[in-house]
Amino acid sequence: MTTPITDHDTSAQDAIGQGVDPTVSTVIDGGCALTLRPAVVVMDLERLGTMQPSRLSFMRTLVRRMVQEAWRITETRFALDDEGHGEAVYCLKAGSESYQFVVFSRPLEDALRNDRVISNQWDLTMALVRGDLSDAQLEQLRINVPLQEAGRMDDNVLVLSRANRSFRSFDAVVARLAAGLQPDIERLKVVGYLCRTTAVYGSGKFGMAGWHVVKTNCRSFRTPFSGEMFTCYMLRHFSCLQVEHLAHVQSPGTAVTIAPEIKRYIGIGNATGLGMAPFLIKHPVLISHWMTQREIALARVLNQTDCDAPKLNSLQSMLGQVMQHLRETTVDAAYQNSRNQSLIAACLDLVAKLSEPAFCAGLTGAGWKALQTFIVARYGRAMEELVHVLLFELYPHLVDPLEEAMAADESLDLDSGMTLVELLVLLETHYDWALNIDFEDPNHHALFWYRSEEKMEPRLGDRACDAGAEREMPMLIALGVRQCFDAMQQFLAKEPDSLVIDFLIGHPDQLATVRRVQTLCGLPYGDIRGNLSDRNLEPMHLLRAKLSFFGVGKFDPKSKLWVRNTMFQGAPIIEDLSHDLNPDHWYFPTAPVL
Amino acid sequence: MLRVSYGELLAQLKQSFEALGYNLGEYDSAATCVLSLELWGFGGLGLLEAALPSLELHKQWAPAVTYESNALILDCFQGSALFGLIPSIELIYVKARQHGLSRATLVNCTEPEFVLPLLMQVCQRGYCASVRWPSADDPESLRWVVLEGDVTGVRVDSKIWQASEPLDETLCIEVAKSGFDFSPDHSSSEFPGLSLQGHWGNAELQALFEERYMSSVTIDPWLWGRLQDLGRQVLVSATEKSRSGAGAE
Repeated sequence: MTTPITDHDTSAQDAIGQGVDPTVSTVIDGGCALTLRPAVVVMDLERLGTMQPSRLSFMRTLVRRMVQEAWRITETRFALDDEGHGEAVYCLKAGSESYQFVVFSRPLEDALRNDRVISNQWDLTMALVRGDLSDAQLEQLRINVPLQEAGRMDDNVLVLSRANRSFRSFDAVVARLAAGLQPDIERLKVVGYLCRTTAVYGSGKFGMAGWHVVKTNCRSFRTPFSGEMFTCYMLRHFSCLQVEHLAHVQSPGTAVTIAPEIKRYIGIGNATGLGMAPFLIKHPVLISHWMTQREIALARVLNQTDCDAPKLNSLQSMLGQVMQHLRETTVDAAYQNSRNQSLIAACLDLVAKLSEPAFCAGLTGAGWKALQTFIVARYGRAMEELVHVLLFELYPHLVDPLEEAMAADESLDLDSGMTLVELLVLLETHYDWALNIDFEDPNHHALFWYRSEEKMEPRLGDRACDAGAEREMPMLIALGVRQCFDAMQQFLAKEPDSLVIDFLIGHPDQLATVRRVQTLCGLPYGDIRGNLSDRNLEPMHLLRAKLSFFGVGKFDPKSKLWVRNTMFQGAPIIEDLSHDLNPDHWYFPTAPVL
Repeated sequence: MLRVSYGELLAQLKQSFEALGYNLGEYDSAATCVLSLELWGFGGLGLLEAALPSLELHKQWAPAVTYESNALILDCFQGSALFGLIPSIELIYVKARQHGLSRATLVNCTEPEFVLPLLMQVCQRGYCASVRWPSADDPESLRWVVLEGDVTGVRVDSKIWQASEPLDETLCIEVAKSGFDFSPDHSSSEFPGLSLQGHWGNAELQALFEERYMSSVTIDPWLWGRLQDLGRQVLVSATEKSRSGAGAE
């Protein structure tokens, strides 16, 4: 049992006093105080850009649940024509609950197939529906699901998504299967999927069931984004069946099905752009919760001192797997390639160190914290974050229970009776990173975020030359803090004994900042420590942070602003769910050797 | 009628209020107020529909606050209680914290029901509140709501009283530490001849809230369309250059 995070300086008196490190957070975990990494480290924007998927990622959590609870998935309808167009329905039985995954495959000209969220035609559209499915419901889905944002769902629909066939792999795999050959592994190393999704919607959009309904009524999908992840998992399954179907149509005499080892290696592609970034700013309490669970997991693991030979061997073996995974990862962006190569070099070096008896003896005596100190000094942030998630794999019993605590009540509280001096101290202590930004420098206030009329897609503009700054999204927390701080100082100069409420009566425009600051002082991982209007902003860091919580791999930036990645590569396939297998052997997946 | 999810309506309301020129704290809170009133059976969407024409014409400002005879007077200048009242309600709370009980009257205010969700938030800090106001349609009909809460939630008791003569057009608020007895003495000279016309107890209202919370919200398609039209005003026209700001190749 873990109690909520507390910051040592939530009392202004403590912060004013001497000897308190204002950035260190502790939780009471199983009766013991657990010291977590400070927010200045964890929430640094560049560090967030090095986060890796872990056992607590939503895909991993979902697959564990599917295996542990023996979910049964059966095909109840598979009506595809010779072009692979038509529809399919799959029924999920999870305990006493049942759900339906419905997918529609429609013709799409090659020229219309693209990754952008603003597209309005797709190869595949799909929905996850709770309960059973009547003919009338299926007919409604036939009409509305292919329309996506332009359609209207009912509140039995939990998730809506769409996907396109991969130019690079879909037809090639069909041809191989039709010729009686297994898919080309070398090609799959480059493109680890047959279809790529461009949007996955849940949480009550377009008439679907709201998150609070899903959380309460759908036990199987009670943790954040699990319905969305399951939809992608089912898309992966369907994509394999679709290529097998087409291969059989092309050449019934010779066509083969995909070998299970290869099927496991086939994931689902995903293209993600700036649309993910506002979520991280608009849901600070939830983000704090996610980060806190991850940091608790890390602190628990680092407190372990049983760095014995079997565990060190396991770590070495996992590092080898990471290197193989990275070598099999093909990305276009030079900077991402360089980062991957650096990580491989660091892994090689650490594997060598772990072969040195003296080094291992030192760890055996001092525990994982000593390894962490070594890694921080020798390799830097990216390797540090990588090793952390590998250590998670060694202690599933310390990490996995935290997955149930990933949901949060997201309200922001106002303490209007606090003295304004106290609030000022909280700002100085917790938001020093924001107050240190010089917004007078145009380069620090160069970019703005806005919503395009094209499907409300978030975009980045340059204040110097782009239109739309007057409709800027409220993404700039650091600037808001600066403005609030300045207004408070002026107010205090006239009213030194005032309360927060006195300030708010005169400055109602500061309400959101005050409420956010007061709430997040107790949730120090809520705000990302970066200036989202800086000319040199790398939005990719934001995307990577959120995608790591989803659990995606093969991070392949296509520009500064959008990225391709792979989901569920290496994960158990549906046929595996009924077997008693370890559901966690698919981190950093590598190509199968047949 | 159209069915929309709680989250979808909340997001749409925020965007529409943002388009009306309100800032993050204000539009966030106003959207929550509308939904909260709808869920508790106080007709939040109907009240919003009534308020929209005026809100679209001019931005609502915070009320003028004066302090007379140990009570706050909040003058809304014929504006809606939907916007600008959070600091004032917080001030009432702070006064209650300081003095044990605080009183306030809202004058020249339309859609006064929108103070209820704000007071619910106050009550969740371990306070209780009494709110009474005459019906806009029937000045001899008095709505009286008592709220009591703690961190786990809020309990609501709502009554309608019929008076024998038109009542003063003010909304009266009292806030006190939890446990305070707001029971009215109907024989007093303040409310001569009141008779109880309707009573919705906490159990009934909680059941209604739960039922509505767990299902979709029903909304007039016309109002939904109007909110969507408003919301579109925060969007920026797309150009080839703007597409590059999303990473388009």
